[in-house]
Amino acid sequence: MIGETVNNIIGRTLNPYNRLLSSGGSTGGESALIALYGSPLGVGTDIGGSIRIPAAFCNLFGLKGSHGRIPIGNIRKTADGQDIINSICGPMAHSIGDLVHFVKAILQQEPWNYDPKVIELPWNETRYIEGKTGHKVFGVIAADR
Amino acid sequence: MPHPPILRGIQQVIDALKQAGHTVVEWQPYKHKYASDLATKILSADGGAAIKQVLALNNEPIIDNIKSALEVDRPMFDLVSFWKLQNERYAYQKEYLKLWQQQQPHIDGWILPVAPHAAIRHNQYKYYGYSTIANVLDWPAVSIPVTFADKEKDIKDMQYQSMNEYDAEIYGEYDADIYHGAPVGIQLVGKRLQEDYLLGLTEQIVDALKHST
Repeated sequence: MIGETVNNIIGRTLNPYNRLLSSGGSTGGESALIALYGSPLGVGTDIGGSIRIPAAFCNLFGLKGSHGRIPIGNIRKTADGQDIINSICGPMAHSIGDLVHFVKAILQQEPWNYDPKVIELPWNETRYIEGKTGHKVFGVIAADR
Repeated sequence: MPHPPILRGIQQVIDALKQAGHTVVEWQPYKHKYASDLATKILSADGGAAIKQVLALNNEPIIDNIKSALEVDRPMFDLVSFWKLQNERYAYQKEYLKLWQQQQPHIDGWILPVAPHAAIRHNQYKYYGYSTIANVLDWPAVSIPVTFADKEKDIKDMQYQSMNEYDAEIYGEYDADIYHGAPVGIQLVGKRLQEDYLLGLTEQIVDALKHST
């Protein structure tokens, strides 16, 4: 839930690239571990940036999907039952191919049969290839104001 | 205003995409500060009760970072006010979707910083608006690594005219020597439940960055 990783028990997680800086948060232990090649891929939860921030801070890719696409399983999270802005489960890894692999593998298990919050929406290879090919239009926001 | 390494990272992505033949257009942030405040209210709606309950199990003190990110000492929302808050969020989602639908030419995805800074110095994380926006909208978003902060290239703008005190405080945190070597990431946001398409689009950005000169 916060953009750094620090707690009363094991203290602070440092950035593997520069120890004066944070590994990001809240999934900052996982991001530091992956950055150091201690793990090929990790799963985080994101309610305000907690997958994307540690991924960005540790030179990794990270996906926060929409609510209902990837099951959260029995992961413990903050404020269970707060179902408005949902905590979303998603992968962090060194390459975009790793994220694709993870999402495909999860959806192949048909998680909607186990988790009533997951929408029955199998991996759509056609849409993936549509995104991957042809010239696109990108909008850019350089700064909030 | 994002720190110089982030602005350079965004520019690097823009240049690479253009070089690869894609179209890049400016996208105006729509009430992002409002969305960020809305998220804080929703996540703090219990007045921090859920967090305090867990901490009370062994008298653990609340860490400063949580105190600054959430309003843990605000009074709990009553149910009617909370429903109103949920409705405000839904209204905002509808407005943003309408804006996207009306955009000409049609935009496939939009790019923005993940945070106003590269990997942050300890205890300095203050503004979550860039990342929270995707949670408020419930749109999928991917973090993409781009480059590293470089003290030779990322010079602090000493003449920068801040928008307000908050902005001045965040920009003021930048120090080229301390941030040297910090990873710089950006994010790409797509439409709800279009993760497949978004991951495909991300590969295009990765390819463009790889082949850019």
